[in-house]
Amino acid sequence: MEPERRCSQCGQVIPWSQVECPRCAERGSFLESLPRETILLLYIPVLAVLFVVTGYAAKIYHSKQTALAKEWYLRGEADLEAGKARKAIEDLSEALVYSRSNRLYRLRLAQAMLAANQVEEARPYLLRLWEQTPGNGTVNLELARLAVRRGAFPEAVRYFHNAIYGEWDEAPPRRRREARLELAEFLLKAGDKTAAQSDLIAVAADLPPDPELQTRVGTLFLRAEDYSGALEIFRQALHLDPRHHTALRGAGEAAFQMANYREARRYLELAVRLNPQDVPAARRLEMTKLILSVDPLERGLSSPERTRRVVRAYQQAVERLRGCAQKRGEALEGQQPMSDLQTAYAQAMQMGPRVRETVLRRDSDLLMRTLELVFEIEELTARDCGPPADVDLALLLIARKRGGAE
Amino acid sequence: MTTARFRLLERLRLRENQIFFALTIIIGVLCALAAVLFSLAIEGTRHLLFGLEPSSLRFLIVPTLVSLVTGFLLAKFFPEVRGSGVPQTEAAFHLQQGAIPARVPFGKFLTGVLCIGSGHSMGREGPCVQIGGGLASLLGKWLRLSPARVKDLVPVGAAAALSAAFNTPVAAVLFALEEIIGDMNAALIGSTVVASVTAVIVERSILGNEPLFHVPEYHLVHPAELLAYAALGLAGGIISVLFCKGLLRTRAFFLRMRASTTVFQPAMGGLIIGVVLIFVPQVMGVGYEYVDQALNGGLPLKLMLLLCFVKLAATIISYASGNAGGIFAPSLFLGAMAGGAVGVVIHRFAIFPTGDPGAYALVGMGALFAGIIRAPITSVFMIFELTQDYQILVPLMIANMLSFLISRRYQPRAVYHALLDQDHVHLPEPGGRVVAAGRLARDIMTHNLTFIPPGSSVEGAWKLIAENQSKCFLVGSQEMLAGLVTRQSIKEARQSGKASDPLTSLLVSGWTHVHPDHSLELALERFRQNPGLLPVLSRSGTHRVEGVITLETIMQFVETNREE
Repeated sequence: MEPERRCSQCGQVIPWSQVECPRCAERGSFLESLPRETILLLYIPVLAVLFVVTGYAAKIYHSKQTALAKEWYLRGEADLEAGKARKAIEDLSEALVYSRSNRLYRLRLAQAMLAANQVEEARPYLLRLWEQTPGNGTVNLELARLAVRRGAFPEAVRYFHNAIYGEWDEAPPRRRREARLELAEFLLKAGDKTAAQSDLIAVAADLPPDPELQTRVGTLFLRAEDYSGALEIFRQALHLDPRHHTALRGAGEAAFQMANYREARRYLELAVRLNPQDVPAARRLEMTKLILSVDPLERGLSSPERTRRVVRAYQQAVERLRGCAQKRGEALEGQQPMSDLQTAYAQAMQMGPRVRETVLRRDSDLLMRTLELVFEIEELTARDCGPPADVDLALLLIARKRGGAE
Repeated sequence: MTTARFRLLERLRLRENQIFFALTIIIGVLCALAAVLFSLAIEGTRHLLFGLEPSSLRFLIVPTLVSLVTGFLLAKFFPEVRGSGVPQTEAAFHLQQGAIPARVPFGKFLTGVLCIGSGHSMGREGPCVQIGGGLASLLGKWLRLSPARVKDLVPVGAAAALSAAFNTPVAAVLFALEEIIGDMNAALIGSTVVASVTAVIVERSILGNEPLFHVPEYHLVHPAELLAYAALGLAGGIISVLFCKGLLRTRAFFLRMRASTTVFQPAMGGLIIGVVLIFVPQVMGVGYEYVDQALNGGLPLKLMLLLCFVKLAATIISYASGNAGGIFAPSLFLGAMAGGAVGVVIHRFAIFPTGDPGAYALVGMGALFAGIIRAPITSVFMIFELTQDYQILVPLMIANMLSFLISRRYQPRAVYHALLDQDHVHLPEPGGRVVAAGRLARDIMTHNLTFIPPGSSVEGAWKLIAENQSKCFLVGSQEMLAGLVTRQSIKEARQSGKASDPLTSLLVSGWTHVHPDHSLELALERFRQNPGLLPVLSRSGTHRVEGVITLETIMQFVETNREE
């Protein structure tokens, strides 16, 4: 049953069917004495005042919202810095509650989600941002990273390129370079060295004088197997900082790969001297020295020294051949048809009696044929018995260097 | 000279139509300002009461204490403003000639701000509809418009306020036509459009052009996705039924409690909500920020499922305990969470390519709105207006229609009407809202009423009816009908020695009634089900008797018509 309603002015009971007190309604009011047009006109200033009041209230409200949003954003940033990605997500979500259109907050929230490995949740935020600002470098870069995580290769490359040619709010050249380097790293991981090389060449063309950065780019060139490009960049870095260990090691490696063993030895010696604990560099130096000590084709060798090296190389190759055959359980003196190892061994045995220093010194043609046989044996055994070590490896590298030169 | 001035003044006088049109624009501006202020006040109150990082104690205390205050205000000063405001506005439009007391919009504003601002899981759109309708009615009354014109202003104000509150002018117009008026072909469409557009212009000039939600670009990735949307429609329908039934049963439970507890019921709800907020603060208030996150795929599956069910329960508690706030926003919240969850599951496990979960959240909003509010056309246009993308229409219509049909199958009475039923107010069914051209129950009823006091004994009642030859009698009073009793049952009770028994033990069970606007055919059909007497009850208070239909009144009506 409805509660009884009484008029607040006269106290009379108001029937449920009527809205207002019938007695008071009969008395009339101030408004009833005015023409309707006047009342309509009176509404206008009242509305104007209300509009101003509401507008002012909205302004205060918006400024309060903005302040709150910033506070939450700063908390989120601090959490992100501290590596608390989940807390940052909460804070940045709160920031977005107060400032829903703020793209920076939205972007940082997506980045926090990515940091917390919430890839599926981050993606729609980034796509939404991309719809609004398709040329935004940061958004494209984050979408590229997301595509990398999802293993979407063409999508990743597309977003990387959008980021490289996109708009950046701060330090555009640096951010574009960083994006391109990230793309190069991604391409290298994906095994597309050719594409990576072209991006690295583009980066190298506009590198600032920064040894750290140059060293990073040089290392990527090394991974992309563009050794001349790498050596060039490492040289630039060493020009600025001659004692940069990583650059020295990288330059040594690049020179080694290019078979510039003398230059490699120079860089590697400096690198090992700077950091004796660098075992890989020390090993590489050792190999470089070994190559330089056994290479019969080394420039400036005296004739006796060259023939001595050839004879040693021949003996080493024959030993390697025997070891390889033994490892494979294969007899070197077999019947027809002969295997590659047996053929090579037969050639070596046939040539053997004449491979002496005195003979080779007189017969330069035989010297070259002996050397070719040595290189052939090293290639053959590397193919059939796995990578060699020590002197055999040195001879193999010399063989390949010669093959590359030819 | 005097005559000339008089003529000039007469020329300057505006006709009723012109005043109505000017008032439509004024209402658009005023309702927009009211809706904006209402939203700002809710947010301001929330910040004031909860601060940046509220403690568990604060979560518990704020809704409880504030609900104590609002409970007092609602019980003592503003009993008409509990709950949403949409059903009350419908009742005012259909049953009270659009007359809404001045205290209603102001009371709704105050209590709505306190309830929603103190963390109750309720929406602001329903209250805005009541505030808008109330302000429009008030302005019309002050301008001394005819009652019919004042009535017409109610949906105009409601549309304007909703347009400003939800930032979707077309959906607001459709909501006013579909839900408030109940007739999509209503002549008021022009006025509601003008007010709605005016309101949205004012709202945007104050709050800026920022959309309510940042809606993702929609794509139907694969035709098979339509099946997924159908599944979403099914889920939406089931959740809608759960929500409606849960709300009505919980509210019935609160209504059955002693009248003296009415003041404290909102605080009981507040206490429960406080406990819920300690563990799931995301269900606080309107919750559009989380809807936005769900639309953008920013919420994990588990959280969306949790929010869907906790929000459902929290809204039921907040509403059923008698607080002031709507179910418009909660239905969208539930839809976004349910849709988002379905979207994530489909996105992960479907064998065909699918769109982002945000698209499902969007369609889910429409599906739940269609299922709960039962305004399917409004829901389609509302989502369409949010996305501005034709591609969404087909999936949206599939999901909405399924949700609507399931909801109507298992909860035949629309929730707003069922809530009014609980308050003993019977709104006419949408199909019957257009006044019938034929004869109505009021045409054949008589106001000559005889009541037997409900406290009478059988013997006392016999003495009262001894001289009356009627077969059936009303028990109670005009304001409070208790039931019907037959002469035969009283007679038999006396003869079997039960003369001192209370009369109420003889009340007829399963008696029916009609309302004055029911058709003559329906009245005659129902008359056959009663023992010779058919009460005609008021729609605005179903215990109040407006007349009765008896065999004599029917015969008299037949005679009169034969003479004509």
